[in-house]
Amino acid sequence: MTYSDRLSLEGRTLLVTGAAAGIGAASARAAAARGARLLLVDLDEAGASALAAELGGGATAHVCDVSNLAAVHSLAGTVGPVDLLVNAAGNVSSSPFLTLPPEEWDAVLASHVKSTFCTCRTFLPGMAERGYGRVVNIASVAGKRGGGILGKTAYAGAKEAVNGLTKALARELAPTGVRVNAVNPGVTDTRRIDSLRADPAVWARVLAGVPLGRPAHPDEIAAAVVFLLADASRYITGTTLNVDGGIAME
Amino acid sequence: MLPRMEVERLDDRVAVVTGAGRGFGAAIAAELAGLGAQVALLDIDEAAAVEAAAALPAGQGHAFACDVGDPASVATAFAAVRAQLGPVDILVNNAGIVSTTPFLELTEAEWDRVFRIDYTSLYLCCREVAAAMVERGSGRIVNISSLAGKRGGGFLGKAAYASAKAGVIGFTKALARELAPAGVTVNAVSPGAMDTEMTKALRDAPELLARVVATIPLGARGTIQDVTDAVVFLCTDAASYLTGETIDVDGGVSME
Repeated sequence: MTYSDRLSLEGRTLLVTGAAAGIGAASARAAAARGARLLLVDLDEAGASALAAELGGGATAHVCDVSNLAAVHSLAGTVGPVDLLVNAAGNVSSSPFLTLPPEEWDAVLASHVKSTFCTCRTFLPGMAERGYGRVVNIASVAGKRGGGILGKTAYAGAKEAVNGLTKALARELAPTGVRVNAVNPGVTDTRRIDSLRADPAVWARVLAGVPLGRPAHPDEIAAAVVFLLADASRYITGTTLNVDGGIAME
Repeated sequence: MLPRMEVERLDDRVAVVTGAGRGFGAAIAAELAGLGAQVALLDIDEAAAVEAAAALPAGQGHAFACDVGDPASVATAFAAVRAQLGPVDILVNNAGIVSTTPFLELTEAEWDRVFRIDYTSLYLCCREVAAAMVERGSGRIVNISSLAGKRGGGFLGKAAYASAKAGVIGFTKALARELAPAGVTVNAVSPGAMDTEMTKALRDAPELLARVVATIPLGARGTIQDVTDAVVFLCTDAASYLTGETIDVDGGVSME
């Protein structure tokens, strides 16, 4: 049994939320390359279906509002048992606090935190019963540092809540054989940073705050996700791993 | 069908592992060699290093005598590594000693010895490879810290060990910050309660062992392989965007 064998996800079913683009899609591709069967969940049906077609190997696309528990329960009835779960869904929020509309606060909380509650509440009982499960939540260095680059209060608060939920779930589920970890990306090369890139002065300031001096490629985040899903990380739970080019250095 | 991303291959890379004669170090050396690296095994016990090197795939293990706490010995060993294998791509600072002496009985000599081997050795070994890594614009340094450093001991080490291992985390971040512009990453792994030679005393103390295990969310002590897999992850291209980070391999004890 080699290190590469312990990165294998052969025979496992992985559900990814926010799977149509960005870090969710990159994680799905990386996990598929390690042998996982993919359930791709997104509100973007065309994006999720295109990725399912690209991945093959039994990958399926599912439209679901993952911040709605009834909708996730209904999804579970369709897809069957899930071994691995990656929660990557969520919207960014950049409104300053003093003008933050309450609707935006609620929407951000729902898309990042409630969605993670809903998928975990739905799929973790089965994982615990079967004595095997791996969950990786995509948080953000914005949570740990109070925003500063892209997200502000609503986003930072929600993402740090994801880290808190990760640790509490890890503690509670550890005796059942379910591991729960988070990955905290920094500046990652997805559509989300287009607005930052558009202004050279802003972009230079962003990169100046990244010790490695460049954004992450989504595949670099996905590689950490795969490590945390695989048996190579079997003694790791409740961590909130920074994959941020050195921004946090907590 | 997708191509398998063999990002964990380390073919043609030169890795140095300190304290590689046995335990964690020997296991790390074996995994790195398994992924294709040429591995220099450094140990103060040269015979142990030779034996561990011989266990690796043919031609991939190279033994060197090195007392990581002694500047002259470190300089000699790394010069020999460079001469024999070329520039170092990966450095794993694994060598270390534990200290369980209570503070009220702790002598200055023991304090100095623990800091020299568990902490100053990082300065000495990194100094040997950092400049060339910066020049070539790539390199991986992985340091072994300990849960004891984050929590003030508790399971094993006391004041000297816990503070030296905490120092390892501070040094890791500072060196990461300094070398990041060149694309060199520096990270640490922080093992928790482990079932190894270093902690074999616990095997004969069932009550203490039960008390230790009760504080571990995953309900068991870790193994050498649990730690080596995290070290190997940090040595591979899969971890190219992590720097200044400490991975806790502790069964959920710290949850920081």
